[in-house]
Amino acid sequence: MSLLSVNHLNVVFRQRHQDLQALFDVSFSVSRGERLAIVGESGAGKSILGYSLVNLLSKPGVIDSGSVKFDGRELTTLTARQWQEIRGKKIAMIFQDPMITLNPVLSVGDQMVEAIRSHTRINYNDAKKLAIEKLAHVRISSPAQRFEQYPHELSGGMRQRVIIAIVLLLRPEIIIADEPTTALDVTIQAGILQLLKQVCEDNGVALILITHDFGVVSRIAERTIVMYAGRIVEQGPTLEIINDPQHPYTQGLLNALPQMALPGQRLNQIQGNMPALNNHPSGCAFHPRCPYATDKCRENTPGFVFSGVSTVACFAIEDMLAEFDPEGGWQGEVEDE
Amino acid sequence: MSNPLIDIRGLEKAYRTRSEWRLPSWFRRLLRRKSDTANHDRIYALNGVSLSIEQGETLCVVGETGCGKSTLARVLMGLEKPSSGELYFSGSRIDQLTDQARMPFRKKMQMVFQNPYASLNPRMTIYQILNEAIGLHHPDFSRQQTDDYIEELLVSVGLSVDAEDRYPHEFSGGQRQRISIARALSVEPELIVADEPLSALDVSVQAQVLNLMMDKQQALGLTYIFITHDLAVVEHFATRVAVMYLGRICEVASRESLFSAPKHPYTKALLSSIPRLDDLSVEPIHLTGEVPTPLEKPMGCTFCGRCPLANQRCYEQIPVMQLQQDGSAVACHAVEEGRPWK
Amino acid sequence: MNILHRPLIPTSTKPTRLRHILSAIRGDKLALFALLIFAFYCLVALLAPLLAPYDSSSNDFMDLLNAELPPYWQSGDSRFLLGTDTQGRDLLSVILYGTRLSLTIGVCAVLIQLLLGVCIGLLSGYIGGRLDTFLMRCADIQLSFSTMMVAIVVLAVFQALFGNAAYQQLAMLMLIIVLGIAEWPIFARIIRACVLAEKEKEYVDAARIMGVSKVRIMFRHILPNTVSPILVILTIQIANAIVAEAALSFLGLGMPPTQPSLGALISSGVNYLFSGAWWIAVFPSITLIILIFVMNLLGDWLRDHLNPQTGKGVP
Repeated sequence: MSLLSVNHLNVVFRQRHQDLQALFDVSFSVSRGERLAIVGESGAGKSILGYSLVNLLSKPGVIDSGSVKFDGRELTTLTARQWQEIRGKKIAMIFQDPMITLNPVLSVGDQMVEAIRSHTRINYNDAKKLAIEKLAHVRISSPAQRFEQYPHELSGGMRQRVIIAIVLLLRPEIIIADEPTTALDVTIQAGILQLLKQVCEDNGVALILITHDFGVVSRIAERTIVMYAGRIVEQGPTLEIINDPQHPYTQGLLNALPQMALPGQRLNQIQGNMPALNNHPSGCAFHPRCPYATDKCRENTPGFVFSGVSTVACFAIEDMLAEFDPEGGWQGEVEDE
Repeated sequence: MSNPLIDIRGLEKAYRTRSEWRLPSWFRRLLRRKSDTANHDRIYALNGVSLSIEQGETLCVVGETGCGKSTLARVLMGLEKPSSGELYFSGSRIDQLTDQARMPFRKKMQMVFQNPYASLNPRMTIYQILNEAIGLHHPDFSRQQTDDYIEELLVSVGLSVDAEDRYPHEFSGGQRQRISIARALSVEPELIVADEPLSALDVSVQAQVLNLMMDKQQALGLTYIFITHDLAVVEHFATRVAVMYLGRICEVASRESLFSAPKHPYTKALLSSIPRLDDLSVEPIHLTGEVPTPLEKPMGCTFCGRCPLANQRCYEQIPVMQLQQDGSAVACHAVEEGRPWK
Repeated sequence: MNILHRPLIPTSTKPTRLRHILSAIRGDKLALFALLIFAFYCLVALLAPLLAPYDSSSNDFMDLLNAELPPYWQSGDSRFLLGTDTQGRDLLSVILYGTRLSLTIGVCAVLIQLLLGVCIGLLSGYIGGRLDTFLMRCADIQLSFSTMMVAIVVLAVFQALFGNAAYQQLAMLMLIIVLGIAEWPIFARIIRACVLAEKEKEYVDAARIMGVSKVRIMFRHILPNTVSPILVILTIQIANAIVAEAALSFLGLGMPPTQPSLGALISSGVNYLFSGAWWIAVFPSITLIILIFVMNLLGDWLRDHLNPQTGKGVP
């Protein structure tokens, strides 16, 4: 039974002259305690997906159709009041910039106590004790002193740890982390990733990690979804995707990494750029950049097919599989579930 | 033996931090006659950096936020005056030049910036941006020559000719970085200092820009100083690597020896923390603490607060660069003494 | 080869900004309305000599026999649409000429403010250091005197020193200079703040590395990037200058009664307000209020649309 399941989600930005579609028919699910990564470049719609899961889409963006079910409960139709029970308490969010969440004029401790007391009846001293405990839990040195400090007195890595501590206070069932380590240095990033992985394992919390960095994904996620231009193009176990990418975009992305070429050699670049929202190509969105593109790709949108343990949306793979098995072994277009 | 292209000797740079209630400077000087408080309102960005860059090589400067790598680039390009130390370009000293005397060196060294969205003037067309550089350094070009040259430049960095009448905001990040490179190349420099040119770009675009830079190096025999925090790029691109921490260089080595046998504890921790796709088994070495702010001029080794091998000597004595057997240079007491890695 | 695309002297970058503003203003009815009214005012001011039923310089313009005639719909006198003032001048003509004067004074005064403000702001922001401190303290001192106070003192002293005759001749020039000098710090401060933000950007560093001279960096690179906020203050400052001029004229320190601006007209009309000749004060007041209202609307709208923080600005 999946904890969070997203079905045929379409997100549209309503403009005066035209509607710009940001997400196309996105479907996936996360089970309890699972760590899922959503990978894509800027403009792939991965952050929009994250925001639409917690109903934080900014103004012109709306969920056009599709459903988001959390623990069997439909989220897209909730009122603002009902969201307050869910957001933070059941589904927590960690942003790239910790200062989005932290209030600069309140001390770290006050914010933590406030967070606890807004959801449970508990007196100040007990809440403080709990907060300091959590600060120690995320391996912040001298938590009692940090409790009194203000966010600007902490470094970036420390702030992100505080955020994780605050998030854990409310015992969420799922954490959505949007590029949580992008602003941090590599040595700090390693620590935060390990902490995130550990708290998720310890508390049985599911994690959706939104990132552009395959390196980060390989450290933390069990399953990976690759997005391109508002669509999921490939999903499967992380190791499988990194070692044996199926979709031409995933292949290109991984091949473009410097460590995939011999030192001093040219890198295997993907030509061109991610299409803009108002300039979405017909058919498979990747076809202008794809080395295997055919007329079919230009006209039709590929559905998902199973390729090994991954599901891929690509006609080239589909054709290859069909050829491989003369009886048409791929079992039709397979929806995610 | 000929001079190295760039020779940096004992470079130091301290910034004055601004206090919120700033008294007029004459008044502060009046107050400061008796007690000199100068040491307390400074940030020490570079504390004695010595480095030399040979013609045709790619030196990558690696380090985390606040280690002074960008300051190094700015001082090198003459955007900041160093507090002390010397800078030589092919044997001639360039750190104390006036704007006028610097002109011939501007033609020889150029810079590519980190943020492609801020490094091009949003109110100038690409033609105007390139024309300004060419007008200053090729004043003898006729209009026709300039036009042809600009077209040639744009094509050589993989842009179409019709780009010249457009404004920077009409281009994507990768294309803007190409324009930046075209601007740097327009004066036919020998050295290009690139300050994190890839960090604002997507992975697939990073590869495009990096390829362009490598092509240009081959074609024009450029020397690069490439400042980055991304070790994967370093491993691919560098011929030599300098690792910086808090205003000092802790290790300089050729790429092969740095990645196969890192010596400085900081380098080791740094290398272990890059997530690698080809080898998922590497466990990162966790450093305790965070990079401190360089408000005080450090007494001993800058890394001692986070170093797992530090002892009393590290807190008291500044380690000096020592040449190792494989040709790399390391500034570390632990390496010198051969302290065992826990 | 298309030479037209490559002017030797780079063309102004305004077209993109202007196009952006125009396309945005078309979508906003209120702003479009304000712009149209403002354009109407400017047109009226420019064409006042052509539009006015009477020529202000002719001899029969002022005829005391016609003094204080009520507007057309009350008097039925079709010669004077809006009635006449205390000196028998046609009120419509006087208002047209007054608008012309008020706008001229406002715009010229703000141009002086702009010139001083841009130069001082650029120098202060870009050079920085002690020069910055000095110039900004000068600005503080200047601002600590209220504009009205400075204007009253200067104009009164001038009037006392050189006599009324000289004053009447030079009134317009004096008003422009006084209003221009009194408020330059507003521009200087905003421009300095913009320059401080802009000069940190990498394109300025890139230009410095190229060896572009300081003056060229200031005027060619930084100044065009500060135009948006300048435009906003420009509109609001013109409105302020017109109001200040009207207030000074009202106090008897502005334009002489022979050459009345809107403020002077209101001033001369107020005395007759309760003696039945309400139109002398009311019509110029309405003209002034609409003008100021429209300019403030435009200023606010520009602020909203050129503010980079709201993301609506020109990229």
